[in-house]
Amino acid sequence: MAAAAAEATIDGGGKMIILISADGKRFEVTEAVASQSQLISNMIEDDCTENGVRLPNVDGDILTMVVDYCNMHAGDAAADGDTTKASSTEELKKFDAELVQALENPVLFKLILAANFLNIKSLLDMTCQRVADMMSGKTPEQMRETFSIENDFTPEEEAAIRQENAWAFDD
Amino acid sequence: MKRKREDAAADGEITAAVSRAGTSSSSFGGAAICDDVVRNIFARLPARDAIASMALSRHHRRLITSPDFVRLHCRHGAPLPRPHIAYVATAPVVTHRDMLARINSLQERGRQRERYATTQSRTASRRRREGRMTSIFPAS
Repeated sequence: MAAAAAEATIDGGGKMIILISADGKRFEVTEAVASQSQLISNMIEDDCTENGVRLPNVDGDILTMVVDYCNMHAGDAAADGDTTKASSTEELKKFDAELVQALENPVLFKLILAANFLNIKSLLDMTCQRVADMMSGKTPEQMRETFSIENDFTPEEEAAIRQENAWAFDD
Repeated sequence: MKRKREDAAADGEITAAVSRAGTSSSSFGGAAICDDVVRNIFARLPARDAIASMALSRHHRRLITSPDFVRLHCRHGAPLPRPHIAYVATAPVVTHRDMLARINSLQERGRQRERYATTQSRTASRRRREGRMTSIFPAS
């Protein structure tokens, strides 16, 4: 097993890592793809990915998305100056936009949690930006409704905040 | 030390790490999201919306008024819209003492003007009575 892995490494960095989702789905990805996650990258450094990496708080369908994303972005992290990759940056942007545009709120938040947990900075930035875009221009009431946030202010407290920062509230 | 921790994580202790990261989590979008992420999201809002979201809940007010958040917002946040000078101008900055001083000085000036007006009219009427208009309108 170890010998085979070593051979693969010599072949061209093709060592495979198995990711196991919360519901037991297995994903086989190359080291280059998986190491976009800072968490897994650390684990690779420490040589503890032999028996697969169990991710008990990432569902199979979310992990599918994450693996898709990492597969798409494996190139730009590995070889920045590569001319063949430069042509596909627009494609990547399009892929990213389509990935986050289509998501329902609960799925988007699960994806954010997964990105945060796996520590994939670019994915986290992108998803957070998407949520921020959805929020901007909304009144606090609309935000509460969209993101089911509970209001625990007394009416007086809320009025005080609104008065103190009146410039941010008048429409 | 770190290596050992990672080893343990591989055996399913990742959950411990998760609960550590999410100790102060809030309900957001129906999912428990840790404060780091919530801060990350709010830091990307324009300043006006970030301030407005202080009215969401106590938890959000605490997050947004924290110095950490302010720093993060300086890095991520969208710049202020064009007429931001207007925001400064509309903010009520007059203190109590300011107001009092201003009223006092207004009253004082009013009194001075009154006094001046009465002396003016008095001298004018005296001159008219004494028939010394020539001194004001000298003969051509």
